[in-house]
Amino acid sequence: MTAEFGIFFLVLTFVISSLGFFSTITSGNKKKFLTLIHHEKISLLLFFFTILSFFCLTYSFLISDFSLNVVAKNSNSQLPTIYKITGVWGNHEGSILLWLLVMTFFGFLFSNSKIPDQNLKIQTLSVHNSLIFLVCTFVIFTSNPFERSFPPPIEGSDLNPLLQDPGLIIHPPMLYLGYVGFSIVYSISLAVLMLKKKTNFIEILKPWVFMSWIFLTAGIGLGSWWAYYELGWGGFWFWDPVENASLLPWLTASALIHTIMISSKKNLLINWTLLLSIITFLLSLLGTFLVRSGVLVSVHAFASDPTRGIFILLMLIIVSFSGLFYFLRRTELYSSKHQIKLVSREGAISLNNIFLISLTFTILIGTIYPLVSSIFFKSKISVGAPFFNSILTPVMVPMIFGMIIGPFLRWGNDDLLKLLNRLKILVFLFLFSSILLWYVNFGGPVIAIIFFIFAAWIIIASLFELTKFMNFKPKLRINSLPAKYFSQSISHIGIGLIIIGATGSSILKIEKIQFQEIGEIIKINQYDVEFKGVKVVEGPNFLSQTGVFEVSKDDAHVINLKPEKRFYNANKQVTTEAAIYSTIFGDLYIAIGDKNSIKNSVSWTTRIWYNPFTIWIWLGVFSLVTGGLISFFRVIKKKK
Amino acid sequence: MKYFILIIFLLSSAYIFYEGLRDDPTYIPSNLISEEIPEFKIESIKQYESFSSADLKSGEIKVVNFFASWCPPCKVEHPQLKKLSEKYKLYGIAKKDEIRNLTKWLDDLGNPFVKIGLDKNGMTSIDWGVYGLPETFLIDHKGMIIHKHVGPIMKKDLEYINKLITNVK
Repeated sequence: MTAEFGIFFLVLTFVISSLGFFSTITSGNKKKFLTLIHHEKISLLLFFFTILSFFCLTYSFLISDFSLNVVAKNSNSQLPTIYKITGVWGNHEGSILLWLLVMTFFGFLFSNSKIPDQNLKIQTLSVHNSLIFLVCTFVIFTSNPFERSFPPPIEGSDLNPLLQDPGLIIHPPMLYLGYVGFSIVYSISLAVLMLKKKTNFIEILKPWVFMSWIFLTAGIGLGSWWAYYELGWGGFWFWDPVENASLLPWLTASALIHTIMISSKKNLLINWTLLLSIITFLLSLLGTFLVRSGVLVSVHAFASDPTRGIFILLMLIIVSFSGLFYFLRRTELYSSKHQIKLVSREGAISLNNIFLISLTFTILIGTIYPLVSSIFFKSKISVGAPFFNSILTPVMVPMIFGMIIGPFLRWGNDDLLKLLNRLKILVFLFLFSSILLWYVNFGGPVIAIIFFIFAAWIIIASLFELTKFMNFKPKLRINSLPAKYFSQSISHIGIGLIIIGATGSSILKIEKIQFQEIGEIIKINQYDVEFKGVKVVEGPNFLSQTGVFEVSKDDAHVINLKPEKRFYNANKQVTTEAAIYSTIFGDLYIAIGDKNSIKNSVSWTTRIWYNPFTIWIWLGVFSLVTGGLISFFRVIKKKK
Repeated sequence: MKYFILIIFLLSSAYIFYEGLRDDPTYIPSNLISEEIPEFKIESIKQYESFSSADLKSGEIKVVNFFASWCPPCKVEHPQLKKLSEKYKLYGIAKKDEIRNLTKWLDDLGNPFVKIGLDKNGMTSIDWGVYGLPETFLIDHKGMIIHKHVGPIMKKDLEYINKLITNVK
């Protein structure tokens, strides 16, 4: 019965959201058939019914109602309760319902916020409810989570073991909050463009941009962390099409949080801000399309279906066309004749935008090129890490310089020589840190040293900016420091930390793969890793072969590491659980493979990595998110 | 004009993605199709006659089958191989197999091959681009690979293979 209620609530959402859709189509008419009150009520109802529907699905998972297809395929009665709940979005149907839920929630939030321009609010809600209508159509007609199978199986086939993991509890919802957050950004921008009169919208847009960016950053960071310890491949980023798909909107969103500052302070680049808002959401949708349709080979291919692909493609066309059409139509309205000087804060931010966008398009082309090549040239190719790494480096260098110099440039117009004079101490610090780093890493790979130096420069420059500010006002306390300096410095320091972590764990990583016999010691970096043997441990719904490794350094015991190989009972799948010992200097990472019996001796395939500075990546992501949060709360406070 | 460009851009992107939906990204064609067979060396097995690349470069159409006694799907395709052997000459390459197991396997199930060699260390399989067992190649009279079949040959595949060979003839 619960499932019937669930689908009933979905249909209600569908019917009510169609009102929003028709109001958008007829928005050209002078006489509006829905007023602001109507739109606000609609947003409330949509959220209310979607959350009820979502509860129905969650309940079905909790009571293991295997008569529902989704539950039968993605859950199991042995599954721990927490994974029964996360199983709701560990599959295509449920995750799209979650997408819808987040979307209606944001619509509801927006309908409750104070917007001075009533027309803009009406138009935004009507665009947003149209998007909800499209997504809801998609759920009901191609991805109905409440579909039943008859006869129901006695036992479910279990949640994909890779998804039975704490990292996966929050990674997809975070990413969705980010992706879907940009749907509001899109709705506001399209609404602005649809209104014939000029309106002041930047301050309305700002908190949504920051919020979505924060969620997207956290979502990508969590995904990367999950891949690092769960896949057992020893890396944190694989340039997989689906990873790229999440990186693309992140890059344009990062460009957007920079331009929106110019738009808000100087009333410039408004068209560009609008275009970036639209493109960011389009790229989020494109990401969904790539994940859900299976057009590209990816580790995320768990939920692919071509018929759904066609629907998302249609949605993508409708949303792209409306956004870009109105953008072209109204370019005149917000264009400005004011020229931006290259050597100025605006100039640095614009340059940063150019590089971010170039990077976005190069990664986009690299990601979909296998598809183009297969269709037009009939040749199957794959574009992998070497391509992406080689394009990343040249674009990173000017961006790093921009990041270092930009914050010190004055708005409007500045002079490079004067700037150099202002930053004498900083230049000295740069030289000193470079020599120091060169000395410490002498003999190591040159490219790694260069990246370490760049990262050090970013961090020093960001810290310097804060201390400089405090010097001017010696009595200044931390809590009276303007938040904007903090947020910017902390975010930039985050980028510096990520560069250090990425350089360490890719260029400097040490990898040892071998047949290791029991009692055998492998030396890696300064550690001695002794293989003690394998024991069988029983988990709630799996059997685990747990390897025991004793790690010591200079004959002193450090830690016992226990990597696992898990055999899941229900779907006979095997997963690798790496064991990681993290320190700020690097991670010792062990994964265990198969047993090998060659000529009476028994050995196991073991893979041992030493990944220098990996933890700095997660600290960097944390720092980025913190910086974003400070900005977000500042914007909200200012608005009030 | 700008709207026209927008429409063209959207339609062409949509076309690419639409075509992409019909395409199976996991299907990987062999680079060796329409190429001459690679040079290779395989070990001979006492009871059977072995062969080399020279044997495959002349004469009529030949079928080269990569198999092993440890590979269950190879057992599935065995009856079909026997059918094929009534019409064409089959050459077998056993990958990473034990001679004892191999002879027992052929004794039990019957030997459809005219000649058999052993790819002890798997190098020949790599040269041929084999990435799973069984795999079957059709070679024309000049020693060119005309078709590659990945996985066991089932009854329904026989018809296709026969048609292909008559076309080449």
